[in-house]
Amino acid sequence: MTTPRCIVCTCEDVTETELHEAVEEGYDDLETLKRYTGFATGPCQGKACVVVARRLLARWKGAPEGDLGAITYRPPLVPVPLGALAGDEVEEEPPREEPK
Amino acid sequence: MASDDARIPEHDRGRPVTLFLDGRPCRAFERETVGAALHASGVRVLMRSIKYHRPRGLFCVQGECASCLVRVDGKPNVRACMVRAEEGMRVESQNAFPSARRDLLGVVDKVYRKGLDVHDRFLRPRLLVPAYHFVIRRMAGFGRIPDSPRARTRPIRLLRPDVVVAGAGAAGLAAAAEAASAGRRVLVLEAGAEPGGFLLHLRRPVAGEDADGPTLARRLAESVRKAGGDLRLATPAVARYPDGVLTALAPQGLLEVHAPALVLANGSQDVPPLFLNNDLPGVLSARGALTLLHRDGVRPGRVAIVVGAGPDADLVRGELEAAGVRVEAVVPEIAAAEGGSGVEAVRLASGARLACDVVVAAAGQSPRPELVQQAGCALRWDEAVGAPVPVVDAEGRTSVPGVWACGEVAGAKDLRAALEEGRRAGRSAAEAGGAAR
Repeated sequence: MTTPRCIVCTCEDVTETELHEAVEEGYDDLETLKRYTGFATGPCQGKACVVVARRLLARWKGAPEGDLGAITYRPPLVPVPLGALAGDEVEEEPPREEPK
Repeated sequence: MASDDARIPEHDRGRPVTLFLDGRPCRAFERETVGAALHASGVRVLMRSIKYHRPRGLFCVQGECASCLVRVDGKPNVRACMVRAEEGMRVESQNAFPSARRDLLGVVDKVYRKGLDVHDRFLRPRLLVPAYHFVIRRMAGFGRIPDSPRARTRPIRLLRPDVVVAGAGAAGLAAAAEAASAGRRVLVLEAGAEPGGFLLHLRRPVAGEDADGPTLARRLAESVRKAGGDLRLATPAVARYPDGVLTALAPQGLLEVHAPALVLANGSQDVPPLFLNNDLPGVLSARGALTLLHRDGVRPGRVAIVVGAGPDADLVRGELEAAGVRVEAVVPEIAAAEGGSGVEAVRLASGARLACDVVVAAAGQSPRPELVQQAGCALRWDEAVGAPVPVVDAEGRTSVPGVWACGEVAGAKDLRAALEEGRRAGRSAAEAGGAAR
């Protein structure tokens, strides 16, 4: 059996317990909590975990979620191969009128 | 344990192909994703997690959560839920030895029962620190360098439509159809393999329309194309830059879009559930289960527990049952999922245990915040949705000139609202989109 853990950030394996301990240590805003625990810094870049982390933070601080802000979502929003970024720019033809 | 029971017979999945998982052959079909093929064959553990080496598998089934990363034909970190099976494809486990199923380093999860806080570990004795680093560096990271690391450059295609729509769900298609009918050159970018978004999961006649979701999606997509709109599938947005440029990743390479009008209609995604062992293979989000059923034609399991309440939970239960999955119970919450390499049961707060092999979490949706934030839109807190949404006027205009938002990404509460908002935004963007040139 797996050790019972409640995972908040599946990418970086950050559990609810770890988040709570970090908040108790004073990392009580989303951005510093992210930097300390690493949540939202994995392959999904926060797509799955920020909403959950914010709700937990609001509950633990007794603050409204709306006051807690967000993290900064940086490009790219999906993994992009380096080769796709290294190509030359080419103008594409405007799309034709008839459906494919 | 191969089992064809999981595949829904009537589903159009193309010709059979054979792929190899860690060297062992596995039956698949050409229109199945690798994740679906493996799931149908009883392989649910696709990878191990980075720190605790916990078993992981499909969760969102739409390329967003990164729980299904595998190595495909020598390329690391491929989302098994998004790549189609091909004849002879070599799929390998990542972050596990010898395989994701039986990973020796799984002991980490067993040993560090109280958690592993990296901040105060592996610092003493100082003499051992280089040895610690030697081991940790080899265990860290996601995947290994590709077998053939030489990058193949692909041209970046510049497009200059009048209106670009991000998302081909109900709102996006409605917006695109309006703008295209108004004579504008419209480009629609959709991350999925088919247009429709959540419409694809609404298999009964949808309220106010005479057709089911997939039919409505087809009609809307047709009307976009008939009006000359350019609908690009499997093309997720990559970024929206401060100068207004939007980039997206098409199968053939990067698109760089310069358009005076941007309509954000990229919808919402499921909120992950919170309970012990919420990361076990076999725990799927509501959309994940629906995608596995409808897009891939694979039953998530034999016996399901649905965690959640309200219309989403009802929808999921209905679709599961229609596909032959026994829904043991629909409960508002659970204390824990239990299992070794996959879900075997759930434990309720009362202590009662219910056996199952799949848990579907219908914990609500949240609008996707990334593009809205990158576009610089002013936000407001939407209490009903439980998330920030862009401030929009009656025409769907955000606080940023040239940027509209409609549908679930803007907090739309139902399909009717999404379609109406989409039409208004499309009309408004069409008026502005031409003038700005």
